[in-house]
Order: sequence, then C-alpha cells, then structure tokens
Amino acid sequence: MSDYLDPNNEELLKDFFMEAELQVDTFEQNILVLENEPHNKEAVDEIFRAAHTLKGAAGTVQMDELAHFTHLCEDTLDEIRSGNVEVTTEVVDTILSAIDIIKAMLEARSDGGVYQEDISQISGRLEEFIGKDSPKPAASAPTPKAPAAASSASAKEAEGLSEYEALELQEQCSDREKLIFVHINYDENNPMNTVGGVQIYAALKKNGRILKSIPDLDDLYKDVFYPEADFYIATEVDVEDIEKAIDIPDVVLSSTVNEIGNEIDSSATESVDEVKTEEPKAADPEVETAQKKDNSSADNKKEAASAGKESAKKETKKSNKNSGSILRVDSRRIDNLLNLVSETVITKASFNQINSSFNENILELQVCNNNFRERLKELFDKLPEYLQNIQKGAEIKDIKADINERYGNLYTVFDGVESELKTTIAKFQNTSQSLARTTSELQEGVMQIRMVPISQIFSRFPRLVRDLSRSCGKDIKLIIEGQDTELDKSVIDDLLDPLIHCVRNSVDHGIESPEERAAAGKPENGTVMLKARNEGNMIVIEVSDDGKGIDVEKVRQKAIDNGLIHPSKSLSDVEAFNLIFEPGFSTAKEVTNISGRGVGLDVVRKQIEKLNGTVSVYSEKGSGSVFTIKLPLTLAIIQGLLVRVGTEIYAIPITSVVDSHRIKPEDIKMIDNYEVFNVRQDVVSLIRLNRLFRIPTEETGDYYFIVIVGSGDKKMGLMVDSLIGEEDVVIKPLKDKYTNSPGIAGATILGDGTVSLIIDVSQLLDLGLKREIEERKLREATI
Amino acid sequence: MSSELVELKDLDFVSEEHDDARSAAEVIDYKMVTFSLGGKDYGIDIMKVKEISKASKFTYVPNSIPFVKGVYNLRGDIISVIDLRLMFNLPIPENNGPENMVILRLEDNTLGVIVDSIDKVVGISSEKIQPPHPLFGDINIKFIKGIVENQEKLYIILDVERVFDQNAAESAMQQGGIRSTITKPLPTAYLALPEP
Repeated sequence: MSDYLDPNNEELLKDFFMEAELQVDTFEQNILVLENEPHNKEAVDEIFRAAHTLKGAAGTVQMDELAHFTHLCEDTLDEIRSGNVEVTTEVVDTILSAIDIIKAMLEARSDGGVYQEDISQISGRLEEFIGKDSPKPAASAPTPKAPAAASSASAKEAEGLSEYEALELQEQCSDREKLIFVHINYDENNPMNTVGGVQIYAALKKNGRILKSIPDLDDLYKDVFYPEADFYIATEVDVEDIEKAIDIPDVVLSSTVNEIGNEIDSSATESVDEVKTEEPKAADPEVETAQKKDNSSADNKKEAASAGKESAKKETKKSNKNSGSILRVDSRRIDNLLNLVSETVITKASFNQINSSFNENILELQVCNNNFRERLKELFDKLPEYLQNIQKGAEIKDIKADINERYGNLYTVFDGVESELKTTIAKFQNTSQSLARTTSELQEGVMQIRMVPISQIFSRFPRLVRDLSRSCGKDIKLIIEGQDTELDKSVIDDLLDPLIHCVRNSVDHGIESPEERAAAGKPENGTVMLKARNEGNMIVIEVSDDGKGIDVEKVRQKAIDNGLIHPSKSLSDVEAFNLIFEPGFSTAKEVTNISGRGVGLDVVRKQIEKLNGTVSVYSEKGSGSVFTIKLPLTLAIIQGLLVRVGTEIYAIPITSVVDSHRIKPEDIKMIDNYEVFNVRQDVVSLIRLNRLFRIPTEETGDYYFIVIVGSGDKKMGLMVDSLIGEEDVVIKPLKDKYTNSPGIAGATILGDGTVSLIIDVSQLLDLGLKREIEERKLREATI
Repeated sequence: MSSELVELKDLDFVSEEHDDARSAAEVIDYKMVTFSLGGKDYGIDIMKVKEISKASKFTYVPNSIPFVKGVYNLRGDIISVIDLRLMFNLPIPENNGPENMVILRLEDNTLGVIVDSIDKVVGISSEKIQPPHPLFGDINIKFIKGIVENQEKLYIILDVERVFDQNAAESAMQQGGIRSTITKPLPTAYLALPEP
C-alpha cells in the first residue's frame, strides 16, 4: 500500500472526517428538500453526488463498513433518480435514519473504534427499495464478528484466487521466497497506456519470478488497454521495494502490494466465498470500486485482528484531534491578508529608507552647523576691523554692503537642510499613515478569517424541526433567513445549544396542536422562523413562532408561587416575560421529552451571557412569541471602558456598562450597612473596587467615579478612582491556576506594553455579594 | 553522544573544569542556571529555562495567592510571575531596582520566577548530583531534585516541574484559603516539612 493511502495517515483522516461531515450535511439537507419537492432533480443529483463521494472517501481510508453502507444508500438513491422508487415519507424516514447511522459510524471511527450496532434493519429496508432480496455475503458484512477467521478468508478473496490456486502458487515458491500479490490500476489518460502493462511486468520481473498474471502475459503484449491487472510473484525482495519498483508515474494510478501469508497453508478456510476475479474487460467503475472495497475489507480485518496494538496508537490520535478545531476559510480572504502583509513589508522597507534619510539629514545638519559657526566666528573676528574702518572714517554704507556681500548668505545656510528634512518628515508621515491603515486592515482581515456564516449551524435546524414536529404530531414549517450572516467561529460553536433550546421551546410550547390552531382560526401548519442579521457591532438572532404566545398571568403567578417575585410587585409585561429565564421556571403543565424540565431557558441565558450577549423574549398572547439573542461579532476583541484603581488599570467590557457617574462623597448613603447611591429613581448598591481587589489606595478626594454595571437584571455601581476612556482591547487568556482569579475574565496589553486585567462583570457581582455577606458575618461575630 | 562532542559543545566550561583538578576527566552532561535565594545557591535545569530578564512592572492580580507577584507581558504573551522567596517563605532583600526574573518553559505552561540574583550557567556531571537531605534547607524536599557541589559551592537543584505542578498549586490555594478570609495566611505546602 502506498504512503498517501495509509489509513493511519492523520492528515488524511482529518481531511476525511471534515469532508465526510460536509457530505453528510449536504446529503441531509437535500433529502429534506426532496421531501417537499419529490421531483427536484437537482436535489437528487446533489444527494447522489454526496453519497458517492462519501463512499469513495470511506473506501480510501479503509472504513469498509461505512463504504458498504453508503453504497447501499447510493443504490437506493439511484433507484430514486431513475424513478423506480417514489419519494414517500417512508423512504425519507428510512434515508434519514440511514444518515443517522452514517453519522454514528463516522463518530465511532473518529473515536478510533468501529461502529458495532446492528444495522440490518435499516439496510434491509434500503434493500427492499432497491428490490434486492439476497443478503450480502458474510465475508463483506460491515461488522466483522470473527476477525481472525475472516481475515484469512477475505485475504484470499481479495487476491482473487481459489484455495487450490493459492496452494499451487505457494508450492512454486522456494523456501526463501515469498508469494506477493500486486494489484495495479493503470492510468487511462496516458497516451502510451497500452504499454503500461509491459512496463510493470518488466519492473516486477527484475525483482522476482512472475508466477501468474491476470490478464495473461500474452494478452498484455497485445495492443489493448487493461485498466487494472493482478500479478503473483515469488520474490526475496521486501514488499516496500516492490512498491518502489512499480511506482511509475503517469502509468500507475494506484497499486496494492500484499504478501500472501502462510495462513493460506492452514486449511481453516472452507467457508470461503470464492470470488474469482474475471479478466477485466472494460473499466466499469462499479466493478473497480467493488474490488477496491474488497481489498480494503481484507486489510481492515487484519487491522481488527491486531486491534490491541492499534488501540494505544488511536488513543494518542484522539487526543491530538481534540486539541484544535479546523476552520475552512475562503482562499480570497487569505490572499487579501497576504496582500496586506506584503504591504507591511513594503512599509518596513520605506521606514528603513526614511531612517537612512534621517541619518543623512543629521549629517548634513552637522555640516551646515559647522559651516555656520565658522562663518559666524569669521564675522566676529572681522568686527573689530570693521569698527576700526568706521573710526578711520569709512562710509557705513560701504561697510554694510561689504558685510552683506560677504556674510549675506549666512541666512540661507540651513535652507537646504530644512527643505530636505521637511521632505523626509513628510515621507515619514505618509508611511506611518499607511502603516496605520494596513494594520487596521490586517486586524480586520484576521478577524474576517475567524468569521463563518451562521448557516453552519442553521443548517441543522430543518432536520431538527422535522423530527420534533413529527414526534409532537404538529405540522410545522421552518423558515430560515439571513443564513449568510457571519459570526466569529468561537461564538458559533457555543451558539448551537442555546439555539436548539429556543427552537425546541417554540416547537414544543409555542406552536399549538393542529386542532387547537384550527379552533383559534389559524392555519393548521405552524411556522417557526429563524432569522439572523447584523445590527451595528452586534449580531441579532431571532427565533419566532406563530403559536399561542406566553401567558403573562401564568408567568406572573408561577413566579409568585416560586417566590421569585413578591405578590405585590407590579411588573411590566416585558419584565414578566423575561422571568422565564429564571432557573427552575417552566410553565408547561407536563414534562415532555422535548422540554419542560425547568432546566431550559436559564441555561440559554447563561450560555448567551458567557458569549457576552443578551437574550430577551417578547410575546403576544395568541399570536406567538419572539426570542431575541444579541451577540457581539467577536470574542477576541471587545470594547472596554478603562478605569484606574490605585495604580492599576482595569478594562470593563462596554456591553456590561450601563452608565457612569461622578459623585461627591456625601452622595453615598448607607442602607442596612450597604453603601448605596441614587441614580434618578433607582437605588444602586456600591462596590468599592479597591476594597474588593484589596488594592491599597487613599480613599480621599472630592469626587468618586461610579461605573454602573449590569449582568442580567442585577445592577451595581463599581467605585473607581478615575475613568480613562473607551478602547478596543484584545482579550488574552490567563492560562494558569495562579492567576485564575474570580472576577477577572482575562488580560489585555495596553499601548505602553503593560498588562491590564479585564473584569468579568457577572463574576464580580457574585464576588461582591459573597464578600458583603462574609464581612457582615465577621461584623456580627465581633459584636 | 561521544565525549569529544560534549567537550566541544561545552567549551565555555572546559577552562573552569581545568581549575578543578578532580573533575578534569568528567563529562559535563547537565547544565543549570544558578541563582541565589535567601543566601543559598540554587540551580534549575537549563532545558527548563526559556530566558532571564529584569522587570519591574507587574500587573497585580487581585485575590491571587500571595506569592503570585502578578502577570507580565512577555512580548505579547501574558505570563504569571511568582516570587520564589514568598513561595518558600524566605527573606526578601531590599531592592529598589527591577527584579531578577527567570522565565521557565514548563511542559504545560510558561511562567516567570523572581529570585534574589541570577549567577551564571554551571555545567556539571549528572553523576555528581546527590539526593537531597531532609535536614537541608528551607524548601519541601519533594521539590528538590538533588544537591550538587561545584567550585566549592553547594547548589540545590530545584525540580521546577513539581514546584509549579498545576494540581499542587490548586491544593496550595485551598490550604491558603485565599477566598474566604480577609487576612491572608501563607500556604504552607511549599515549605520544608517540620523535622520528625
């Protein structure tokens, strides 16, 4: 087996899994399209292509069970394509469950195992569609049950020999020779393709005795192209050397070299299905892949037999794989970055040039300066002479003229230097401007690389909604809008769960059953909308439904029952709706398998807040509800409000800042030992950041600065020494446990190179609360 | 590796070795960066040292363990800086200038440690490293790789991987109880065990 087909090649596997995921996604999406429009030919073709690619890829990496199963799907799809099978709900259901199996197989493989579940039910149903009723031969069954026994069986099957033939060949080898099987796929595009067979024959002959070839040597000499050929040779040379010898570019597409082991001698192979390879007559792709598959199946089972050794290897592979995620980036974006980088390189060169210009200017300035001084000294030396001349009665006019003539150009000594310096400075300004421009473009470009379209997660919803609506017995249409909206990769990854939660919620609680809808005078099929759009620096995602909406009274009552609010508290409707994000809150009367366990929406809010976003809900009773999720575009750079406490500077994410105030010490009031102050109507409690962080500062001064921060519905005022301003800050993680401190989200580097910490507002509020409680306990203990 | 090769590579130390008649024939296969802490000489395997530098401005991290001096910007990477003298409860000499920092490259982390003064790189033969003696020094014996004598100086070789083991740090944090009390007792996990 040649190197690039090594099934343990990590690069190859990584690519394969990525590719496979994509293909499965296309597969699934188009099946759903097909369900709605059964005669959409494009969709069928698309699915067929996806299945075919997946099958081929699986064969390449020797995931035989996958290749085989996909092949079955492909056959079914072929029947659909040719119109023999009608697209019914049953067919779609079966294919969807087949996709689930493919996914599970991929998952098992990516974890280093082989999918072991029983798939006979699904494959049986698929075969029914194809009209095939004969079960597959045991040797190529996807799950090897007795790998050791199967290995020798299939090894031989792969080599296309009957037991007798194999023995015969074995006997022809001397003791020191090994029997080696070579399978070659020739390149049809080679203009000299008919000679290829002979070339290979010659190459092999150098390395050993050729015992048998399919097609025969005589046939090879005829001017006919064979797409593939098998050779059996007896040789003392190693398998690798043979591989090298037959690796003739432009002639050989791929080759397989196997040693036929001694297990052939052992006669434990009676149950073998004899698949004798016929002389290949035409390059039928189906036959070709089938053969390839058989070969790979043989290898696969050998692998399984030595699984113990492999498993350790796979463990390490697994951990490697989890270490980083793969990003698919439009190559134009990379090109754009490359352009920008080359521009910075040019800028660097111009800076070098400017540097040397400045050096020249300084030299010139020194020359001029010396010149100037000399002339000035000369003038001073000359002055007594002039004075004498005046005393002697010379005309002042003449002397003036003389001085002018001799020293008049003193004024202009520096002119040349000045203009040159001006030119250099202008150049410098230009270059630094262009550097500033390229840097910001670079920053944007790198951010762009991290941006992926939200369709990556939206694409999962059609299937989800379909399955959910099936299981609830509701007829629901999903409308997706704005799936090209782009979002930071790290945000996307953490967004899926909360979104699924919201959609499930809409399907389960929002949309009524068809009867209810009919009774309410609505169309029987409900609609769930998934919309994404840009709004300034934020991404807004809306999940809306046209269901029954949220019953404000019910929510209010439930909140009172749960002790979340006081019965006398008056709440606006919007405030009441947002109570459903509180932990332990579910207005569903009964728990279903989909939602209603009361762990739902508070988790959604927590996850969204982790992404520095917000979630809110609005609803109108009887006509539906809307969940709105707002997220920052990226997590790597945030806008921060820089504040100073003592000598330290902290950055507060601007999304958490409500507003800021300057207050006098006497504005601070005490309520129940808490420091509070009034903002218009509200009373806000204060945290002194210096006390919370134990930074020794003088708490004197005519004014305090208060930054009001909020997380969810909690609000507090942070007291700081001064406000510095708003700035874009690049978040750097604090990696180790030494600096893993509550209330700190990360760090950033300021313009002067010092490190400034970024405050995690929600943690800080918790910390403040805890500290407050602790201190109170301490006080009570001392009393 | 042949001994010739080693000698070539360690040319800087050959002259030193010749002064010391006893070790003239010895092979140098272990190099360490030496520094002093509380008047004693210590060494750290040079393979664990990324660089040394002087620095003065550290950003204080609130509510961290007392011996965490803060974080430092090492050319764009933010690293934690630990004051070894606080960690091992050693006296801190008066110093108004920048601190001496050894930047360590550990298996899973990069961090800076502050020491009294950094001496030089010393090459020794690993055979000469003696196991640590429980009676020796101020540091918990499990953080000491061994003791070695060179040029009439006794060096304590620190096992930095163990000193800065992340799990150990966690337990130290718990012992210190930094979050729950207002006065901050020093975690004791790093100090020498009391004599039995």
